[in-house]
Amino acid sequence: MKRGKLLLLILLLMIGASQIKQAFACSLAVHDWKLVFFMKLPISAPIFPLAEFNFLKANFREKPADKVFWVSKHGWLNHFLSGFVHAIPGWPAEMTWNLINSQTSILGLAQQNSSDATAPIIMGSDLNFLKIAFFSDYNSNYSCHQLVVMNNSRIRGVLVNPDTPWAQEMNGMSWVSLIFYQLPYPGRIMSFSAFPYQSARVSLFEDHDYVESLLMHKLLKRRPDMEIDPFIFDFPELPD
Amino acid sequence: MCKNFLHLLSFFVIFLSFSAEAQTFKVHDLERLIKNHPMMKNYDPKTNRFRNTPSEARPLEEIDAGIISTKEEISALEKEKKTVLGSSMKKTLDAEAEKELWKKLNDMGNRIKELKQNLLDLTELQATNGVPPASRLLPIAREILLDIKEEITTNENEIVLNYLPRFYQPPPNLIKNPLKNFFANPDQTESLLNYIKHANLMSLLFSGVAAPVLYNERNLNN
Repeated sequence: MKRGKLLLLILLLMIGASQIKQAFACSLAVHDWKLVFFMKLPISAPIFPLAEFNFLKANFREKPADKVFWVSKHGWLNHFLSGFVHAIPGWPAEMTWNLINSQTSILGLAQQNSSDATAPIIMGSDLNFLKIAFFSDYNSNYSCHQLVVMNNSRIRGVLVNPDTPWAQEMNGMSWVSLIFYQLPYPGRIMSFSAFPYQSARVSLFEDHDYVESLLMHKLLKRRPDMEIDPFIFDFPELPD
Repeated sequence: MCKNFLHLLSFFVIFLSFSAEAQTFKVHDLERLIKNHPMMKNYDPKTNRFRNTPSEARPLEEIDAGIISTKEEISALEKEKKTVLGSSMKKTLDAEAEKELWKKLNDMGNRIKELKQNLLDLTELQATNGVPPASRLLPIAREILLDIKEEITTNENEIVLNYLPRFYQPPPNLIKNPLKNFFANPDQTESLLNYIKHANLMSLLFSGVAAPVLYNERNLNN
């Protein structure tokens, strides 16, 4: 129950932050992230189908069906949170998402629905894990921290269409990242970002002025002028 | 002879950061150091690219043939994938057969993805007459620069000066960011707003401008 509350809080933060105006990604500081805490938990189903949403968008240019049957070992949290999938911009939000709490083979389920004129996309998420990682920045004398909550799963999708049958598998990954200085309370939060949105990382909140002030006081290390690639600000790869 | 490439390298080296607490001053001829670098033997002035590197230009005939064969291979694989999936949907599969099917589908899917990426690369190359984009030069320029930096610096507390570049190098032309016009007319509020909007990009290039200098109204009136 306690874990459920934590996950709910993370998701609500993520959804709430999606309403915040997108900010420029902070790339002024250079971090040397050291992993200080890591935990991997097996979970029954992805907390929120962000990677599944991206999976559909990455495989189809436009809506291929009206319904999607999402197969996993869903719990009450999944049923509740999946309602928020319609708040994400993109055509998968227009589909009807039916959560099927089953361990049935998705190919078998696709065969059962193949006679339906409006065959749904059958999508399954299994081998689900939640990774929680805490990084500290060596360059800021371990005063700047990053909390990462990552969801990994294997996503399989099948569409039984007589003319263009489709099946695809991919390793799904979604995460949220919170970067803060010393303590994670308002005013000390430097950035909040999520992945994937349009197959990329999206910065949902960034306090650029705060980062500037930390740089000016030499509490963060300024990115050297040689490094002009603005995309090298993600965290190191998490352990398996 | 390799004017453009020297410009590119000069741009990087000029903006190298060195400690302000330097104890030693040195002056080097950057152009000579670049010309003496072993990688410069591979430089092709006709195409402005390096031979035997990913930046090397390729003949158009080879690219055209590659596009045709890649398209054919993609088409054949997609057809095969549909056939395999379509026939599997007509029969009951046990767990082992299903596992095998997914493996086969994934292998074909990965190959198709790889071929599509190749096709995209080839199409881009075709559009530029076989010359890869200038971005392919950046890793090479960085490698040369790091080698030179290693050669000329002995410790962190050094300031290294270069002779002025032989060729004039204009400032970078950022989209919607007319650097040259920023201070031409002080009443151009829009230009200043543009400057502030791109301040984070500017500071990546010029650390000195990372902290914006703002004047209040009273200072301006004085």
